Parts: sequence; C-alpha cells; structure tokens
Amino acid sequence: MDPISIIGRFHPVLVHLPIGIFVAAILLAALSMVEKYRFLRDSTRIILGIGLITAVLSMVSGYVLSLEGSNSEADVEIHQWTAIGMTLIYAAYFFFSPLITNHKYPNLIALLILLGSLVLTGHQGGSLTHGENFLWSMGTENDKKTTLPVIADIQKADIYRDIVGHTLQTKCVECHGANKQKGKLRLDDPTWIDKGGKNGAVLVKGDAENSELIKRLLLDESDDHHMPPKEKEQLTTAEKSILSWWIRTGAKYTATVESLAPDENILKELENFKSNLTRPEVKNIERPVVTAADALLIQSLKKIGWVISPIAVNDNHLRATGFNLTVDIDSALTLLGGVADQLIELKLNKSGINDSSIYRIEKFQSLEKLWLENNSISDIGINSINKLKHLQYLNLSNTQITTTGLKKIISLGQLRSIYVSRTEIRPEDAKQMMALLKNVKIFTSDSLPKLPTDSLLVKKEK
Amino acid sequence: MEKIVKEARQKTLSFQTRRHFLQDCKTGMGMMALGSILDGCNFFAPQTDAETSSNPLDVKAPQFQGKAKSVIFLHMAGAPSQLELFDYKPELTKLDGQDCPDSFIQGKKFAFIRGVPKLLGPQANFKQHGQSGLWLSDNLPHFSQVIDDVTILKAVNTDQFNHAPAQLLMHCGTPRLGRPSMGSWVTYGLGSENSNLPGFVVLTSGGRNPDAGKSIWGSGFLPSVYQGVQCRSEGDPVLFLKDPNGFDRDMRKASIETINKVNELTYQQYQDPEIMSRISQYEMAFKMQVAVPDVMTIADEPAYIHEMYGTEPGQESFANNLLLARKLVEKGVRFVQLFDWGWDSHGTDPGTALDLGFINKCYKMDKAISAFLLDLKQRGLLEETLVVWGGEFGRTPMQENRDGKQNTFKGRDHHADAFSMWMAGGGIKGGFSHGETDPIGYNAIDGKVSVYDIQATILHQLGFDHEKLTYSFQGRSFRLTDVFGKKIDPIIA
Repeated sequence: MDPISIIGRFHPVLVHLPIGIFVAAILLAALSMVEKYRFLRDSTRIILGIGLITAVLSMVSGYVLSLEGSNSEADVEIHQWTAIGMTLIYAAYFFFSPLITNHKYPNLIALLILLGSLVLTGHQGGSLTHGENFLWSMGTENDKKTTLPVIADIQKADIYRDIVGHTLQTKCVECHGANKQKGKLRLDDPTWIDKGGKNGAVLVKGDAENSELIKRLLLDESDDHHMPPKEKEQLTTAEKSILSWWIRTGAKYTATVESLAPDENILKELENFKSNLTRPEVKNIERPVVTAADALLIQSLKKIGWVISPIAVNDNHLRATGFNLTVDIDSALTLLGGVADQLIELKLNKSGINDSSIYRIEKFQSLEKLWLENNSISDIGINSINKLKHLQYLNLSNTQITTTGLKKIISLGQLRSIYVSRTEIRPEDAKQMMALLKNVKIFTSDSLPKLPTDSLLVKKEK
Repeated sequence: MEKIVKEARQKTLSFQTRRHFLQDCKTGMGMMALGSILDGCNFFAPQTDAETSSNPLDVKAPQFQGKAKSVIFLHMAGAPSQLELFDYKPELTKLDGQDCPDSFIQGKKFAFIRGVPKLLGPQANFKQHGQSGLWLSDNLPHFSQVIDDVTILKAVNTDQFNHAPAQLLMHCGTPRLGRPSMGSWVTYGLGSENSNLPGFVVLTSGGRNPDAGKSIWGSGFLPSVYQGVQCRSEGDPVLFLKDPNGFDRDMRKASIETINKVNELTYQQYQDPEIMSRISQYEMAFKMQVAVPDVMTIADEPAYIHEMYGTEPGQESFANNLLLARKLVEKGVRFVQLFDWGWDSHGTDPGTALDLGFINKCYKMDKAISAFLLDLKQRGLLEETLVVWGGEFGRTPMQENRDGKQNTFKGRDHHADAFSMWMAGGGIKGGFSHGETDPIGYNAIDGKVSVYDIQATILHQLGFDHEKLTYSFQGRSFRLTDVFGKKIDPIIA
C-alpha cells in the first residue's frame, strides 16, 4: 500500500475527533448561556477552533479514502458535500458567535442546527462503513437470503415467481429494492418494475433489445452504465437469456413456462438455471474468524518439517502439509495441535499415520479437507474422522477402509467428496451408497477400456 | 570453516581497489547522508510474503483462497489441428476442395500458404459424448470417458503464427525473449509445498525440443531459483545424483553447509537475490539426492497403471511424462510443464499428414491423457490440480499449398485467429464448452478468448489477481499478462 492511501485509512479514526470535540463545544455553548457559567464562552470558541482543525483533517483523509473507491460513488459524494457543508456551518458559528451568543433563542437555534448537521454527517459516514441496515434492522439478513424456489418440473414453473423474480431478487434488489432505490428504480415487485426508474421505463414488453434492463446487462462490463456494477455478482448467461426471453414473450408476471412455448435453446438455458439452483453452493463457506496463529509456534512447526501457510493473505486459516516430517507422526501432530483452531486443510499423504495415532486428528475440529491416502488406516481409525464435523473433502485412497467404515462417515454433515480408490470398496457399493445421499460423491478405482486403437497404427496405403 | 571464511573476506577485499574507494567517495558520502534521512521511510515499502521469507521457495499464501494448488500444462508443440479433434465443422466437409473465398485471405499473412488455397474438410468423424454431449472426433476414442470433467475452449486467439514467438506468448506473455515463464510466476507467487523437490519441473517427450528453446521455462528477470527444472525423461532424471566414491552423505552435508555459510556472508554484504537462489539451490540439490530417485521413476508403479497409461519404463515418451507429472503433483510440486512434439501437421510427409501420422499421434496421446485425467480424478488430485492442454496456435481450414503448390499429403497451415484448448480440474467446469467459431472454423464468433485470458484464468484459479502478481524490474512493475487479459468467468465452476 502506498503512503498516501494510509492517510485515507485513518479517516474512520480521525472522524471521531471533530464529532467528540464539536459535541463538547455545543454542550459548553449551551451551558455558557446560563449566567453562572458565562465564563465558559471563551473556552467554547477555543474548543470550536480545535474542532474545526480536526474536521479539516478528517475531510482530507476522507477524500483520500474516497479515491480507493470501495463504496458506491454517489453515496460517498453526498457524504463529502454534507461534511463540507457542516464544516462551513461550524466555521460560520465560530466567526459570528460573539454576535448571537447574547440572544437566547437565535443562539439555541444555531446550536440545534450545529448538532443536527453533525448527526447527519456522522450517520452518513456510519452507513458507508457499516452498511445501510446496520442501525435500524438487525433482523433483515433474511432479505438477502431468499429461499430457493423449488422447481420440480421446469415446464410447470412460474416464470416470474420461480425464475425471473429469483434472478432479480438475488442480483438486483440489493440496490433496487426496499432499502435502496438507486436511479429511483425498484425491481422487487411487479408494480415497481413496470413503473421504471428516473430515466423512464426499464421494460419494453415484447421487445427485449430496446428494454433498458437488457441493454444495461449486455453492455461491456467495463462500461460505467453496465449493470450489475462490475464489483457485484454478475448474471449468468442462462439468467440473461431467460430474462430477454421473458421480455420478448411480453414480460408476464403470472404464466407457466409451458404457456410461453419455450424453444429448444431457452429450455436448455432453463435447465442450466435450474441446475444452478440445486447445486450446493460451496463458494461462500462461512468460517468463523480466527486470530493469527502464534508466529513462534509456526516457526517450530516448520523446523520439524511441516509446510504450513495461511490459505490466503488476510486470512488466518492454515493449510499444512507433512511430506517431509523429521519427527514421528505422533509428536508432529501433537505440536500441530497448537494451531487446531486455524487449521482447515491437512495433508497427511503417506505420513505413516495409522489406527493408533489417528485419534490425534480429533482435535482439529475446523478441518475442511483431509488427505490420508497411502497410510494403513482401517475401519477402526474411521471413528476419529467421524468427529470432524466440518469435513468436506476426505481422501482415503490406498487405505484399508471397507464399506463398513465408509458407511460410518458417509453422512458427516458437510462431506462432498470421498476418495476410496485402491481400497476394497467396489464401484457398485459406492454407487449404491451415493443413491441414498444427496451431495456426496464417492470416487472408486476406475480404468480405461481396451480399444483396438490402443495398438493400431495407421499406415500409408500402397 | 574459519579458514574458508577468512579466504572469502580476503577475496572481497582484493576486489576493492583504489578506484572503488574514489568512486565511492563521490556518491557514497551523499548516499550515506540521504540513507540516514530516508531510513524511516522504508516503513511504507510494500512488504510482500515473497520478500519476508528467507527461503525463496517457502510456501506462500495466495491473494485469495484459490481452488487449484498445482498446474500441469500439457503443451503440444507444433500446434495440433483443432478441426480434427474438438471443433466440429460439418459445413467444411461440404466445401472440401473448393477454392478459399477471397474475403478470408485478403490482407492475411500465412506461414506457408501462398496464392489461393483450397478448403480442406475435417479428416475425422465426430460424435457427441458424455452427459454433456460435447463433440469429439474419433481420433480421441478414450477421451469420451473423461469429457465430462473437461472445459473445451473453442475460440482461443493468439497474434503470432510462427512457433517460437507463439510459444513464448503462451508461456511468458510476450512473443519476445526475456520475460519469466508462467511456471516461474506461479512458484514466485506460491512457493513449493515440498522442500525436497523443485517447485517447477519441465519434461519433454524426446524428439524435438520446442522451437522457442529453454526460455519458455526460464525465469526471466525473476530470481533464477524460480526457473523450470528440466528433468531428463530417459535414464537418470537428474544427472550426478549419487555422491562420488569415497564421499559419504555426512561429508556432502558438511561441505554444502560451509559453502552456504560463505554465501550467506556474501549475501549480507551485497544483498543480491541471486545469492539466495544459489544457497537454496545447493540445499535443494542435497535434498533431491534422496527425494528424486523415489519420485522420478515410474518403474515402481503397478502393472495396471502402466497398461492404462500405455507407459513403458525406460522409454522417452509423453505417456511416461504424464505418469511422472501425476507423481510430482502428488508430492506437492507446484507447476509441471510437459512438452510433446510432432504436432505440426503441414502435410509435407506421411508423419505430418492429417490422415496418417497425425492419427497415430492422436491415438497415443488420447490413451495416455485419458488415463492421466482418470487417474488424477480417482486419486482426488483433480480437485486441486488444474490441467491445461493446447498448442501454441491452431491450423487453417484450408489445405496447405506450400509455395503455391498443393502439398502431397493432407495438411493444414498455422492459424492464429481461432483454435481449441481445454482445461480440467482446479475449479474449472466439467463437460462444458466455451466459445464458437464460424461454420468453417476460421474466425471466433462467440466467446473469443486470448492467450492472456487463459493466463489470467490460470492465475485466478491459483488465488491470484493477474494484475496484482507483479515484480519490480528496471523501474516498473511487470506481470505475466503484460497489460492485457481478463479471467474467463463462464468456465469457472
């Protein structure tokens, strides 16, 4: 990060100075209206002056911060101008206060204006950092997590309720809904959608190409008018073509897919849309935030051969690999226990871990991926794995696990893939088990069929 | 030990001549003053993981959590014909033998085509395969079994139509020499998960080496510790792994430790990153003496594996290299680069004829690659390993007419505007096709992606924004994708 932008990062701290100091100044000014505390008048001005200096400082840092542009520009601009306005008001009071402090009511009104502008600016800043809903609603998290529509048969699905509405809800309503109405547009309800935004209607029913909604979607992502803004989640190709098709067929709010006579291409897109709905979302796993592991401990782990590093910059979760451990697996795992809270990926491929030492992995409760292939682990060792509730990936290739052991862990909450190739478990057993489970995939040994082309050489005909 | 250190000190002193002293006086004093003034400013200097850790190959955290941890890049040097493998063009069959329309060749430059060439229909039959129903030619009979794990990119585009510059562009992000290769960038960014093996390994299948030479796995201006280590695919993978007679391992260890101590002293004096490279390479060589014989041999693989891949231990072949690549990735090697050769199907001889030699090449590759993908998948490696396949460009829908005369065999010229590549694993969609070419496969009409886009996507899967994985050199920040590239979102699962 360059030195300039560090100044920007100080904005959230600096702003508290003018707020605090101005509040103090207002309170003192109010108090000094009482005869007994008249002597406070001069100090009020000094405090106001100090507040003004800190206000200017926070405005400068705020401007630098705005250059980073992580918030929506319009909101930041409004905040910028209110802050400037507020500072001017305080400056005016600073210069002209001797003229009005003797008049009770004008002075009180002036103080109220001062307080009001302070609250307004502060609130805007707060909304920018913590999000619009932070102050008022703790429970509106549900707004975002719309329930997935259940579509059994795509032909019978309701085009708006199940499909188009869902797309708008997940990709548009965050900024064009009840909480925000950017461009005065709301897309969370048929009446609002038909009404359009400040540039007029967004839909031309029956004509997708001339509908503002579609035009904006199809603009190049780098274009300023492209929607959704490039930092937000984009619509999938299927969603885009379904949306265009919906408008072409008249943008009906109550109609089944069937009644709109979808052609082959659209049907394919609809199927894509459906499969995206049902596919388990692995992308945004919510992990609890953890503190960084002790640096000294990491050093000593590295010394005994653990290759260990955070899974990403700015993320304290760890991935550890034990390819070249210099101590026995028992002591290696004991020492690794110190980072149990952070450890989410652990590679113990051919590490010599066995049924008698595997219980040591039980304390790694955050593990999401575990590699245990090429070790002598049998069904007895499985009991320890069964305690890892967050496990998603488990590799047991080339171990002594059997179907009995596999059945024990198969229903572990988060599991998505289990590898049991080169074990006793046969592909048909795995298939049987997979039929009973929803999202788990079991990989067994597989091989290529023999084909005549394997040894065939094409030669020149003479 | 002390003697050697003393000797090293003396040696450096002897380099310091009167001229050096006078020269230093001129700038040195001013710099010293400036240095003390500016000292505190270093606080703002960007501190990256790459600079803070002492061993340049230590594992490092990516910018964000990437799906892929390793990459295996299968480069078919010479550029295989997309029209006989992945890009099904039934229209072209109908136009077979007709003169190429003027609009296609006007203002275009070709490597060998002169005058008006004739269109050449696909020299293979196509069928749909897998649940995804993707089209594959019958030159790839086994590949249908893994097609649902693969994303085919049908409209890749490059701007180079000669082998060497096109290969450089594919691997180093520029058609000119001097930039680091993709594998170097990746090991620079992520380090290696196995301290006993190199982070970036290169294997060639014998025959011809790639036209662009070793620069396509070079480290350019990055410290040379990140360059690709080419292992021999025949005989000893690495030469001189055994200690000489009468020299035991303890003695080897002691001598390397001493050399490294001297080097460290020199590093403290000159701060040249190349010295760190040298130190870690000595250490690596010492560790590789133990690790390499174990990993770099396919002789201990069971018979069914050999049968599946079509490998023969001791031979120099692409299939053997694929098996080695799997073993290396299994052991935590970050980037494995395979080069196959003989894909330059001009049709000047039977070996480069699309209906003869090309088919034989396809059959061999098909079995080995399909076995390889299947093997990666069943071992649970495919989830974290990104496999990329492709040539440096594609081939024309026209039959080559070298110097204006029709070639004796059926062949195609180099074509840069549209060709096919595929990617599998490492968080890439399976059974998916992206991009489309016109009815004769000449131009991209939809989903066109550039070589830079492919590079950006590879880096993204590993957890890097390609615009932010940079290295400062000669006063500016360089990156793999130069000033281009955009990750290909539709193919990311």
